[in-house]
Amino acid sequence: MHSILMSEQYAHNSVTQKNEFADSAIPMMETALHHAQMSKLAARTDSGLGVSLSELPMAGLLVFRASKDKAALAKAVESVLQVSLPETLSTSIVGDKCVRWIAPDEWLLSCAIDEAYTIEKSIREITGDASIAIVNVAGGFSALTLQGPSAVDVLRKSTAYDVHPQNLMPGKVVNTVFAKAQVCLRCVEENHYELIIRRSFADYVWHWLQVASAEYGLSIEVG
Amino acid sequence: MIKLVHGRYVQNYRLPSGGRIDRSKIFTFRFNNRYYKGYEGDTLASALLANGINVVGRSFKYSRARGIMSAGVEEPNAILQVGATEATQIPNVRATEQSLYDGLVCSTVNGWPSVRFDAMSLVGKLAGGAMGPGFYYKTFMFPAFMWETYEKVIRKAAGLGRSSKERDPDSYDHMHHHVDVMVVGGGATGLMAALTAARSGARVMLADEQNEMGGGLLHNGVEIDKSSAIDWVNSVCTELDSYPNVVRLTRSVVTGLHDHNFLTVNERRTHHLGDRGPTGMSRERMHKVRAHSVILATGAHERPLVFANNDLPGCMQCSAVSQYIRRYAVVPGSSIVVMTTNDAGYQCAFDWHDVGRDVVAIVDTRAKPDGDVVDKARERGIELITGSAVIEANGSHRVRNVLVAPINDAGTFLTGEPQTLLCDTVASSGGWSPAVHLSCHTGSRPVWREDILGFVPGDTHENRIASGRVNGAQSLSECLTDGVNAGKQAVHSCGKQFDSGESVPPVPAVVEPRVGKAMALYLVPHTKTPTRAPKQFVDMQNDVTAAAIQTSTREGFESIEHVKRYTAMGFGTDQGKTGNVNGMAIVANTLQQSIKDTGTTVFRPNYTPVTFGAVAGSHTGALFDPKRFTPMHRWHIEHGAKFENVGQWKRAWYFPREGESMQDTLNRECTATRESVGILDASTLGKIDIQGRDAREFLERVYTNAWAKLAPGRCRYGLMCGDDGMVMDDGVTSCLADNHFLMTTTTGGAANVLNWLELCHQTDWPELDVYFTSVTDHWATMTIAGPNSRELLSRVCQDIDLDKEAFKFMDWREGTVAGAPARVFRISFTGELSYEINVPAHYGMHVWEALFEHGRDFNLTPYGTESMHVLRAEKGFVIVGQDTDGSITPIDMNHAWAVANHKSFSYIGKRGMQREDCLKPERKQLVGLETIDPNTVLPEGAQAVRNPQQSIPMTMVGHVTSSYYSANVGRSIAMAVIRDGLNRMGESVYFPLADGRTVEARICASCWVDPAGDCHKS
Repeated sequence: MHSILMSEQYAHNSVTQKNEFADSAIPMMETALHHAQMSKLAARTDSGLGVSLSELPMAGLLVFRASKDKAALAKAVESVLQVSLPETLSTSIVGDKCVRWIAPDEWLLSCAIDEAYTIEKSIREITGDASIAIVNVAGGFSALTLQGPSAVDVLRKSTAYDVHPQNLMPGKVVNTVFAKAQVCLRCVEENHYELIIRRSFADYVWHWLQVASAEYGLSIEVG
Repeated sequence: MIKLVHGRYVQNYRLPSGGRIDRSKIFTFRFNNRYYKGYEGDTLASALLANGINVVGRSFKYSRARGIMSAGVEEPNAILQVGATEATQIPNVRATEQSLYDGLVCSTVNGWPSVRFDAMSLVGKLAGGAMGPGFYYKTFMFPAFMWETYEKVIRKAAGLGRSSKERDPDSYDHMHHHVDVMVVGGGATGLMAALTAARSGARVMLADEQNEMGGGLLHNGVEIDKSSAIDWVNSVCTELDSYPNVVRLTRSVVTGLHDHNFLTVNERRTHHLGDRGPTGMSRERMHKVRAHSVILATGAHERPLVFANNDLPGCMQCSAVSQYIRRYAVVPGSSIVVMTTNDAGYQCAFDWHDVGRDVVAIVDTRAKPDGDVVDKARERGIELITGSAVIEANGSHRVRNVLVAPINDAGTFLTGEPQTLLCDTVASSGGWSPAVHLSCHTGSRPVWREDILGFVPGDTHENRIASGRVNGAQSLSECLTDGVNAGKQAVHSCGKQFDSGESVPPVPAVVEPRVGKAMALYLVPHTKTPTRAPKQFVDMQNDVTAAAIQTSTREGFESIEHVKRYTAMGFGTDQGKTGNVNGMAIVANTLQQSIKDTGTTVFRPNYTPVTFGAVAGSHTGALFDPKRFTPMHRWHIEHGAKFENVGQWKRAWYFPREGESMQDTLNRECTATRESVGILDASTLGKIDIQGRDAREFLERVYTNAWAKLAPGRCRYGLMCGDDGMVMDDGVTSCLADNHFLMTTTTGGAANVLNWLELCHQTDWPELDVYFTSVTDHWATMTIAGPNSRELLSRVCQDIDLDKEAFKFMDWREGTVAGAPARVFRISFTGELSYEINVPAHYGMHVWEALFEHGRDFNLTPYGTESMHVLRAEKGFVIVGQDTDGSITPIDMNHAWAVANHKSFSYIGKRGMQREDCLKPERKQLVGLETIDPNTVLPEGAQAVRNPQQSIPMTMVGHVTSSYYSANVGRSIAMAVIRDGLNRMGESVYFPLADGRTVEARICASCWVDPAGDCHKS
């Protein structure tokens, strides 16, 4: 049983509306790499190699935007999520929710997919007519994890950003170029990275990662 | 067919012991179809010399036999074709850089037809004058049309190597690094600098182009801290490898030093392992390094002296001879004459003497050399001829003898009669040229230092330190001290500290000999002038002689850059590493000016040649460019779709059934849509979420039409122009709430439009309160079109009132479709009753399949982009980028209705489209076309003329932008931009085609189906 974020209502501030379905009507969700059949791939590879890759299951994703009224957004986020809006290149994490700094006026929240609607609604209620934007982009991305002792070498082959553990340390997030695509790259913990990529680029990035990881030994895991 | 024979050579020139080679690993290799043996640790050059191979190529212009001259990257002659199979061919491999591996196959590139006997050599000997300096300019530039013919002959004769005709089976990749200190060169200075920097905890990278660290220490036999220098090298490497923040790269050439201390380092990872790399290992890796500080410890290259016939095989650099003897246990001859202007040259005579071969004489150009080495030579009983020079070598494929004559103190003329000395090897040293190349890559010019007779790196505003020999250090202890200082300076400039004074390594102890002053000599005088003497080569690879350089200056090419282009000095794979300074000195001498005033040519990246594979890295084949897929892509594949590229997207093009031609498929898809219902995957359309108090105002400014009154729940076609008033993009934008809109763009224009909106917002109107977020990937978009689309939608959507009055054309509603949250837009790009269903991408496949499940009753037909094009053309709907080309205003496009002239803000493009040129009559305007023969389909791009009888050049009045056969209309239809077309309805225009046909077509309105618009409003 889960609820889905619905498109915005006609109200002044685009308040969203919740729709609920009987279990039988719950539509089937597919991640960007659903067709790659990760569980089959995982069964075919060894574990404990230099790099392991997995696609995370669907999560809720909300983009927050605010510039002049940043304080109002920060207050609402604190009240609803019990975390502060993260500063430049950092993250705020509580439970399964993670707010990532994206740009001086932009943040990205990940949460359980059935929570996004209530979070958006609650924040909009608190911010009232403050000038902010919230956009549900859950379908627009694919989240991958890259782990293992050679994970950082795979990143070095893929992005010009300085991924040395002294620079990209746990809790840090950066939006940068990744091969010929874009990535929101977060160091979760040592040798463990999260990559959020645009959904339509998922096959390309997945292919790239497989090639870049091959020399270190690659295991596929179910996210 | 060339018969393969086992080489008659055994390794006659290999010493019984010594060298840094592993004699237990015997490698067989093939050179010019003969087999030879070498050892692990050999370079291809040392293995060839061990087997007594004298001639490794023929020269470019004169076709003279050439032998191995050096032992490093500066090698001008030993340029080989390597590769055991067609797919693994590599042209122009420097034999001195290539490590030997078992099974290596190589051949000369310059020997045509053969290195030993060469028809072209007659040209070189008899008709050499025919290819004097400036030969290319003078001969080949006129007549220009002959160039191709000349080129074929010259290229074949010169044999510049050849690329593989097959796909390269190896892989290549890139890797990025960010370091505090980048040390270029792993000789004494570089090792010392890297060690110092590493001890501070800084992130350090050390790269060296050789297979092991040590540089000159590997062969010069010195002691450091009272033990072998090689032990010191090993201990430094061991310590460096123990630091997690140090990356130490061997076989890695720093090929470029770019702005902001960005370096490209080309690592040859598998070149020494075999013809092909092991699976999963890239052959070459381009390291892209961003460094805070760069320490250049690139060392120096020995300058050979310029004398007559100095290109004969057997003429070598002194240091190269030492290197072959001590590092590879190869002695490249039996009797040697050493000529030197400095003390360093003596070492090769000592090394030669040590292995029991004949040192005929050391010829010192200085009248009174006084360094320690002079005494050592006398102690050994080696004949020392001072104040003299080797003025000429003689022999045909190998040196047989040399002429030695006394010279004056300045080295400008002979002071006595020459004597002949028999020998098979001549080693020469004219001093050392610091390897300043990298320091010049960002524009810094090197500076001449008379005290060391060499150019050193000039000033730079970058954080760079030149250290050791490259910066003019002359002794090992100077180099080691320089290295420590450079390391410390680099660490401090990074803002890092050493834990304590003790972390800085002490400068190791070295016993230095007393060194005599070197003599400035470049061109050795001869009994004849350079133009009359046998050829005195400056640049071996390009066959540039001293005489050619003098001729060049005489003909007015006096700037060193002009001399380079006129003579080709310094071009090629070696970029004149051995010859340039000699050439500059000859220019200076001829023009009676100093070397300082003559200056150098500009050294540009790359320091050594870089393969295209390394440049491309992994960005090849399927990874050359990202391919973007929609959430329903798998379904399209399973249903036999053909795909087309739209930007990076793979879009379903059409869905052929068994036995259908493409036109059959289009006819079926188009008629099914107009008769019942069709479905299109439109997920690739650009979608931009726009929120903020000023969202509406922003739209007013970027679109040409009005947005003030668009109510929530309504959609509107929007037209966007650039500043020039030309159509840039279009799409439907919907009002989600008063301050919330969803803009759609063309598939290909999405990223540009988002950039454009951000640019306008951030630079022109930052005061507007508005946010843009790309939601292209978030929404799966499927368009159902046709008279049965409402009925189909009603089967999967219960919570939206689909009544035609409640949900009108150009309305949007939200609800659920097949259980998924959806925004449904009643818009139409086909002219039919049509709904565009948008659901989050993760539900795309579910909803698509649900529609098909219910669509069976309506013969729901998937159609691709081609049918979409036909269906929209039947209604005259434009596609920006197909029917427009950046020179079309909305008025030209017959979209005056989408231009609001009374908006309060001067929207983008308003002034542009009111320029005089945009308002004048007779502009090209978008119209419909019907060919007189209804079955003739005009080719897109066909040029229109009004008078088909006009002689060429005809007056062209426009061209076809879209053209199809329409099954629904029952004839061909086309759209075109025709000059004054909107005023010429019913007139004919003619299309003379490339195949000789001329097609007549009549100008008409560009709408063939339902002109009243009843269908889409039904």
